[in-house]
Amino acid sequence: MKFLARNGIAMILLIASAVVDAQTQAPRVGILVTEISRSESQVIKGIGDEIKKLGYRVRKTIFLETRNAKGDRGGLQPAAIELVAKKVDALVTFGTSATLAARAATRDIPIVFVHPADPISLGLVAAMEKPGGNVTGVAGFSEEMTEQRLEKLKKIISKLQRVHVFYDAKKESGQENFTYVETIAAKLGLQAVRHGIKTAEELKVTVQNLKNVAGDALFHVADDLVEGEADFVLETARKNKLPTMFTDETWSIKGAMAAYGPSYYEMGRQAARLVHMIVTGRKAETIPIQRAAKFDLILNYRTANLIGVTLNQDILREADKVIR
Amino acid sequence: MEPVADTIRTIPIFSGLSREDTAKVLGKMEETSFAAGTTIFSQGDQGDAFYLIQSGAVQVMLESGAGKSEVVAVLGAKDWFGEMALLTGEPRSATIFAVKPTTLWRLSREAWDDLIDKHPTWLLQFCATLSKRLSHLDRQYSTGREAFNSLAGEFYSSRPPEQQQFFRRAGLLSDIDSSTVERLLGAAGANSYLEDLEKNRFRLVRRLDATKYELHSYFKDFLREKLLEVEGKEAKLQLDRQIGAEYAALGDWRQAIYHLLEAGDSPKAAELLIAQQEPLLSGAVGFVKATIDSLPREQLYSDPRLVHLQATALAQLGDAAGAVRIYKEVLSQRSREIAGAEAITRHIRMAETLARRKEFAQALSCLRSALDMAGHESVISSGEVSRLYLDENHQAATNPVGAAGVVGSLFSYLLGKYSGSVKIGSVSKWFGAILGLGLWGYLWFGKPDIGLDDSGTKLLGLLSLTLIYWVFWVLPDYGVAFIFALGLILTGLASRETVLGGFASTTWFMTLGVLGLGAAITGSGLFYRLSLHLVRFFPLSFYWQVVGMGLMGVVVMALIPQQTARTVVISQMLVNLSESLGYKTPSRASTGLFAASFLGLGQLGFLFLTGSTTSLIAWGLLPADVRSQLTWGYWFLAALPPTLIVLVIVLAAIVLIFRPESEPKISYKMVQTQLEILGPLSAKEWISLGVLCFTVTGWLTVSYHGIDGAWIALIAFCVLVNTGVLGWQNLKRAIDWELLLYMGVTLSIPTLLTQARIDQWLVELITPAIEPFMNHPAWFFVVIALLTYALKLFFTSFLTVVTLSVALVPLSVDVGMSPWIIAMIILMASEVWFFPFQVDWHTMAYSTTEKKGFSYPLMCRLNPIYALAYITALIAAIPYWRYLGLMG
Repeated sequence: MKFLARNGIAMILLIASAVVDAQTQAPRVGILVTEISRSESQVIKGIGDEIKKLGYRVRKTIFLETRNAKGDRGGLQPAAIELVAKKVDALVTFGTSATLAARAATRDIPIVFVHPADPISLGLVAAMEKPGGNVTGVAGFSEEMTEQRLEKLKKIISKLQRVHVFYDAKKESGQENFTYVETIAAKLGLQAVRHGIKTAEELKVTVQNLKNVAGDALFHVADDLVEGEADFVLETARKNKLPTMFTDETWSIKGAMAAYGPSYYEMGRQAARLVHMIVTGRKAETIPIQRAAKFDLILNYRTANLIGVTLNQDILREADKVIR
Repeated sequence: MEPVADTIRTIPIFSGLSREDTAKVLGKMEETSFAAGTTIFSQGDQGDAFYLIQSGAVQVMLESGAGKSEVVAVLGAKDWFGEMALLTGEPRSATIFAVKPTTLWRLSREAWDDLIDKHPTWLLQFCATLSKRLSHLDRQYSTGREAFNSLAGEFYSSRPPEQQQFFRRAGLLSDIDSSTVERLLGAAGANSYLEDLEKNRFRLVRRLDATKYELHSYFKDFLREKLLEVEGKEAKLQLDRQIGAEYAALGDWRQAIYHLLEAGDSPKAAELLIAQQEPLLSGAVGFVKATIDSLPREQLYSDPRLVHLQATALAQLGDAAGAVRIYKEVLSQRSREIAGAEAITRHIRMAETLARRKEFAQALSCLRSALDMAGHESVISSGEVSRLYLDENHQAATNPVGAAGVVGSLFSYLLGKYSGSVKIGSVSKWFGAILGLGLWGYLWFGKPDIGLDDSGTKLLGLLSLTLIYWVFWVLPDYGVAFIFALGLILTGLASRETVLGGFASTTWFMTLGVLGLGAAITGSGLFYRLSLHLVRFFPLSFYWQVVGMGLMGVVVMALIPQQTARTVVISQMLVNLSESLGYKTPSRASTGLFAASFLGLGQLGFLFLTGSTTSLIAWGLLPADVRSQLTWGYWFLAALPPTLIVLVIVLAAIVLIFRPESEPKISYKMVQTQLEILGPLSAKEWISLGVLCFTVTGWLTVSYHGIDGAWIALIAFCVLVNTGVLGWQNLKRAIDWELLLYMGVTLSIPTLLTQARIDQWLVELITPAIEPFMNHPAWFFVVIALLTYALKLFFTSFLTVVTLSVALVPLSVDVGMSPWIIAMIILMASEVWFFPFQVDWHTMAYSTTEKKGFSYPLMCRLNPIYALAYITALIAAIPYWRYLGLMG
């Protein structure tokens, strides 16, 4: 009896320590975001789904710890430091600010970023193939999708000739973006109408007066000044029955007639695969930057209806999501 | 001692005689003595003498054919008896016996005849005295009473104290049942006391049957006086209360009510009278009338149920005019609070016409409706709808209806109790208040990391407090809404423009306009007239009327969003219709007619944007661009197919489930009479009709003129106010200002949630549970509908729609369907009810018709069919909604 009891207890202790060992050995992944809006939640969802597909069991064979700065960019740095102090095995970041905060907090722990635009021009990495340091990730290069976006817009508005393009005239990148759009538009037989603006007020006045300027649609390029006033821009465009093409799903949900941009959900899945490589022994600097694997066309059916644009069956079938 | 001659001269019948004549009469009299208990003569004996009592006392006893006897009087010195048999020649009409040693002067028939022959004036003197004696009964009565009391006193004082106490208390009982008296009075040995009393030579008690006794009424009075003297007034009241309660427990309602009244507890007596009206009206209608007559007038005026009962009793007693009078008396008393209520005035006017035509049954029916409407008016205007809800709920819970629905009733009872406690029980209010504050405090001060920023967490805290206070009815809905709004503004969580933006929204003005239009249509009588015409339009058979009622509801709901208002107006007409068709009320057939009308009056409110206040709030909670797409006409078109499916399924079920027990009697009389009384359209009706046409046309042509539906409704409102159709009184009363205040704040919630990113947070929270169904629209619909059914068990329809719309509408992007579809699923499913406490407009109809309209257990049979019909209709609508582009 004593023998049985002693061995029973020993067995339980063994199993318990094995469980504890497995848990302590299970990789821990920190996720750092500025806030959880639609884009971030799609990324996080993609990570979670892919992690499961890769055979992990969350909270058992892998731990995911999310830190949300709740819109306060100043809160990113302490959150990043906290995750580093917890000795996570990898850090996933979304957006420039979170990636910079993570990079400032650690030079050792691998960082996997998810970025909608071009990380090289923003200085996050040195090169696509050899990113260098402890950083790798997935990038959308959404500006490179300008041609596809214009093509999609042309498909929707068959008589498309001129597109209004707004940009922050104070920034050099704004000018560059416009020039890029202008070139692509010309290639497609379209004309880009320049709207370089310097303030939010100027933007509002210009948008309100768009009905007096010849143009068939409003074409969005990534720009902080314009995005800061997106609600106003979208509402005014709707009132003026002006079609709008934006860069990602978020804007379409807010009322843009169409959006074409990287699928954040898929980027999240790609990031999860990079994390898997890291926790199974690959060094971050040896993992090339990945391009977003999937781009989504989002159509806002009710905006189209409201402004009198009929979405044909071809474009509806092509759409990844239709907001009804 | 007084000389005999002087004594005789003080006797009234001799007082007018001369000394000589007196002497002569006296000479013909013989003095006779009787021992106590001796019978002087018996009922039915030949009348052979007239008697004058010199001293002592006799009892006058009437014997019934069944061998029962009753002491009707006790006579003392200077009283006389036996004259009737001599005057009429009839046999003795009562038995007289001495109750103590008694000396009488006896005047034989021969001497009497001789006396009259010789002294005819004495007969005149005798008759004059007899008539004086009749007019001075009180004095006579007290003379007899004194004699009786002295005998009763002798008996009482000879008893031991415990018997004295028993008799004192027994004096309160109308009759004494030996099987229950010990329980009623809490006295052991009562039966032996009664037997003892029965054996007493002085007949203080009589036996009614094998077990029942009745105390002599004088003895009762004597004992009651003793009770007051020995135990005091308070003890008597307490005893009456106790006896009343015991009688109630024994199911003897008459005695229970009598003793409660004796105890001064008229409210309780009235409640018991109302609760037991059915058996009392069938067996003791006179008692019902007398009891209500004895109640304080204020009590009668303040309780319409008593008025209905009194009117029913009077009608049963054949005094229909009296019944009409009592209604009019009460309505005139309440005229101040119901001033300006056109529907009530119309009913009174109609009743007056009907009463003039001697059509009392219909007149009473109109007055009954008028009084009920007045009652609801004052409840609604005092903002105490919850009181009505509780009253009815309580009644439904305490009076399970009929044996047929035992299970349903049991459920209703249990859930009635449950819902009562959840909704307005003071304990649950406190629980809700503490829970709300606790959760708010935790989220506000504890700032837990739930994935929201600080302001989002605080906003969620305030929102949780608001929601909990709404669910537990801690404070009035609109009061809580203002606490929420002020909380946000004063703490700077949101700008006042955002928080109070709802009051400047088109939804708010649309609702105001539509409520005004609804009030005008209802108040002007247009709605009532339309309903009568619809009834007239269809053949008077059960099946056609079921179809007619279903369509009537659908037509009228388009413009009257207040389910309660349209239900109240139409309910009494439905009772009349059922009666016209010859159906019992309530019966299977009458329940069927109500069920059919309820389709449009309540259950299909989602067909029109303006079909119910819940539709309006759901519309208001949709994103602005969705709202601008959904005009009144578009909403109707999109909602029409599922509505038709529900209509067909439910009407078919009604025809099957509520087949009438008997063939209807074909008669349009009721409808015809009412239409005649209404006469041609009044000016107010013409204006209402014109405004109605303008509004509908305006809404249907929004795409041409571009004027928002809200402004069209407001133009209509403006016309109605400025033409006097909507007077100030009407405006105050008929418009649901509570709803508008509540709505003004509620409409800001979606914007606030978006600003604080709580909408996204909610999506994250809910998505995992719904994700498996997101790619299968039919399953998604079923899940949302079931979720709504479940929430409706705890929340009101309005709160269910608000809560689920706020939580689920943001999912529309991921499920690839218009937010309107999600709102429509919630709206449809929120109309489903399984238990009476879930629908207030139903309760209103139930009470308006004095529970005559329909039977809840029968009505509940339709509920599972509704639940299935809604889900079927939703799934069947998928291809149509795809065609409209509302879903992928």
